[in-house]
Amino acid sequence: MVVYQSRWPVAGAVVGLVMLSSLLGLRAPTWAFAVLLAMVAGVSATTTA
Amino acid sequence: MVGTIRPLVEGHLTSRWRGILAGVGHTLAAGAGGACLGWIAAWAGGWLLVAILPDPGTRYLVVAGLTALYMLREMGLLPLPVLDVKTAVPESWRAKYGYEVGSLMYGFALGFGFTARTPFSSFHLMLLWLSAMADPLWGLVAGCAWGIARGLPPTLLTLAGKGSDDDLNALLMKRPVVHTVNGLANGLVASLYLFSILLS
Repeated sequence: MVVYQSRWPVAGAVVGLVMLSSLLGLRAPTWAFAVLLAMVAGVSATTTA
Repeated sequence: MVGTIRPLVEGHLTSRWRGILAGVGHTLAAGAGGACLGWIAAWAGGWLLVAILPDPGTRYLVVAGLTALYMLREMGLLPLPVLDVKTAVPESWRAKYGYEVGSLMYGFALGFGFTARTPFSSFHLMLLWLSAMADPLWGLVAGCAWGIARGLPPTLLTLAGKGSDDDLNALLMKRPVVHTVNGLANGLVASLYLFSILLS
């Protein structure tokens, strides 16, 4: 496996933003998780050519 | 899949509008295929998951935990399996059904998901979240979003003249970046849910 070191700062920033939003009481509805993953998966599939 | 739609859109060399129509039809059909897949996942998958884990909180917790693990998988840190159907839609449909009908058929088949390669965990996790929600309406919505997100980029790329073999090869080289984006999306979803219940 190859570890891409540069991903960790971005991942850390994402997690930090999520913690902050949770502290502020901003909660995403569950359906938003499925829709977000759906859009990421759909665009990702473009690279299967 | 750019290689699939490219001939259908470019085929109308004398009529760009028919090529655009083929692309639009392809995208809408992909949305319809995805909506069917999402509905099935929410209804059938939901029935199964509710039988195993009746409490919705527990279902979401398990799926969020899996989402977090697959974040690590996409980042190359944890070897986990992904159901990748190593097949492709038949190229013969182009010749057999023509441009317009072929575009719709390819779109629907690709939108349905398991008729072509799905090497990214976000697709399977989407189905898991829909199963955990067990709400066919959101299955339709998220499935449609998947289908349109799958059908639209190849259509736009082809219409922008970016469907050559060199362009396709360049697209394939972007796979590591796509895995990173999948990992970040998985991490965002998992941490959104897990931190919200930890801090509530």
